[in-house]
Amino acid sequence: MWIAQSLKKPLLVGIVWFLLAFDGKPALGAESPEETEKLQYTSWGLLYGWIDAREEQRDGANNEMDEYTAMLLSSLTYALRQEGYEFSFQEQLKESPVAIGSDLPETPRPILYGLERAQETRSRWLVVVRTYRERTRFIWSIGIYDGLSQTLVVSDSSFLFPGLSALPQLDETVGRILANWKKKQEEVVNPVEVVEQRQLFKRTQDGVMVYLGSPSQGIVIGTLQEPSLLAPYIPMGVGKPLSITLEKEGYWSKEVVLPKGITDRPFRLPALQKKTDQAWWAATTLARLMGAELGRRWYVMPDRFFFSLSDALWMNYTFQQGAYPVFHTEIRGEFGMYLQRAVDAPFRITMGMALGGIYTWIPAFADEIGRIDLVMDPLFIGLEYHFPTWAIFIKNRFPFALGTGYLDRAWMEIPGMGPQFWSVGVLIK
Amino acid sequence: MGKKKIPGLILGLALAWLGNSCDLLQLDVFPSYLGNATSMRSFDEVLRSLEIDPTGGSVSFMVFLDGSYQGRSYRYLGVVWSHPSGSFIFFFDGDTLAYRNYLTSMPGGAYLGVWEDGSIISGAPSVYSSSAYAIVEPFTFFKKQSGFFNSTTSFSRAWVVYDSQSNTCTVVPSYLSLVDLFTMGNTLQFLIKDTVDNVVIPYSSSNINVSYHPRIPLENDGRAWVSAGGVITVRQERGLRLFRYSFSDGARIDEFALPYVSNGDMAFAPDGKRWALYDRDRRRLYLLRSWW
Repeated sequence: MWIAQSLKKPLLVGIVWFLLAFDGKPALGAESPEETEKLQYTSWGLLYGWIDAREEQRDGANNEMDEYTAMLLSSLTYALRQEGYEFSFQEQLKESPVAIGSDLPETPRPILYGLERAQETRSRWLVVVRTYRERTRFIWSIGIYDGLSQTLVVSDSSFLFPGLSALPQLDETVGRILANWKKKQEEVVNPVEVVEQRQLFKRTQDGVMVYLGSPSQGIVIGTLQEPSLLAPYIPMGVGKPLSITLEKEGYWSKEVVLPKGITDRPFRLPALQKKTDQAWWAATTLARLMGAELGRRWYVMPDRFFFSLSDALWMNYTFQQGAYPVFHTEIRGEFGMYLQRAVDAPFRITMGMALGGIYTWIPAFADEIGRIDLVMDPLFIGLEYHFPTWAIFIKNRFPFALGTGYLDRAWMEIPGMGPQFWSVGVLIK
Repeated sequence: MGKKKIPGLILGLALAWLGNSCDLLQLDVFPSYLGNATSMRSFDEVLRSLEIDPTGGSVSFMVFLDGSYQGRSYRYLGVVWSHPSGSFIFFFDGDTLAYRNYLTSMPGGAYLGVWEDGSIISGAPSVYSSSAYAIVEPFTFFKKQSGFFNSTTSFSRAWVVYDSQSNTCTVVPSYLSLVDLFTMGNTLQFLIKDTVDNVVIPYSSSNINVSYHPRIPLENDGRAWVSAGGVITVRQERGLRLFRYSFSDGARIDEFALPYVSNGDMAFAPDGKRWALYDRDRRRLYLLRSWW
């Protein structure tokens, strides 16, 4: 095919542009300039701190840097610069006694702080050096962290006795740890597509702390106060499930898995269920619809076992000529339990037993102040659906009247319906 | 079904339940007639208070006795109680069920009613061609007269004031029987049961010669009463169910359920405002307001 000479150069540029623009998603760290920048930056961050516990240093007269610490840092920075790396920051840890009163930022968690600083300064590597001077020994530990994956890559720890042989020993230590670090870099790592975005969480409750992992070992992502929470960048593989834990005081903590990992879609956090140790409840019951029942539960074990004391007040009226209302009140004690394992399950099944007494007052009976029917429930069962601070429930009883009042000594039942003593109610935790 | 649908489902069921609450409101685990009751007596407690052993006895029937004797009126509920040792007649206040008196060694079991002078008369079932009776004063309960009626007809549970003016005697076929009666002023209301057609026919002394009389079907229980409110029949259906019919055309007016009473006896006061229920299973006697 003949192409005009004047068109060859623009055509070549166009083909290259087309391939770059439309050749699908580039492999990680290869074609995307942004990702290339992320993975290929080479600068280092350095955190260091020392403690001098020798007798002559206890009065704080000499707070200059320990000479061996200085030599170790010097050896480390020299070796890295010789390799062509540069330092984006060097900071002293506040945990060192000599750092007290300095302008250093608070470093309650040196590693986390260092990793945050590495992200801020776009440093790929973080080296943390700690030294300790005690009598005749000089002790050190060095750790190199990957700022991208936020993991420890290599570490080294040893001690020496100050003297002429100390300097080569420090150089040897630096050489050894850097050699190990290089060796780690040469290990074949399967390329992983890492997410670029930060996960946005939508709030359902205030004051919920979100942990990456478990509260005891994980990292705090943040506390939900605003309608949404933007998590810090977490270098997770694309599509890899992410486990978080939600925690709030007085509520059951909950582990939640984001099945698709970090995505650009907001994740609505589930509401935590309140730990129930006491609760009020109100209900109305079939055959007692002209009235209500009010009760209070005390939980022996939160959301497991409970005692309940309640009072029901209702009226029966046939709406027929010549009929007058008949009034009843029942005081009743229950012992109940939840059958499901999860204490914070929204849908729960309860069962238990109860004992009560129904006082009946018939206003037309001038010469009788009323009678009490003792009632025993060998079994009641209920279904509850729980929201964080309240629940709705239905419950049925199977009561047996002891025949002490107007009722027969028999299983109680509604004529033609049997034991259908269904209650519908609300529980306020 | 998603978890989010569960609260909606529960709420829907609850609303559907409450939506039909017109009938549901009347559901009651307690006897519904308690709302109509004005008084209640444990019959056994009354017997024990009189040192009468209730074992083996049972209420045969009861009847309201509203009368006037020597210018003084009275309202009693008379209860005939059968016992192996003989018939007892108990008198309770017709407005409060307060115990008044009891009689024994009296002819009883066939009828109990008000005699023409306002005394109370009680009769025993007929033996051969005669039946014993006794007449007592309603306030002192003193037996002032006794004797035998020569009659081959069976009496009802209540006695009628003898109409000396008409002095007529109606021959009643064997398949017809008098089941209840009362006087309203000078009018006698009575109920005849036709055992062939299984109906009851209300009559009164004012219309006995009229050609049309409504025929009211009896229910499976077979009993019927007559009162100022109309004719009442009873059906055994999940307890007892009472039906009220009009005197004039025999149309059903209303009904009253007694779901807890499967074995009961009733009596209706002549004034139509009160009725009595004896629950044989619980051995309780109730005085109730009429439901009409």
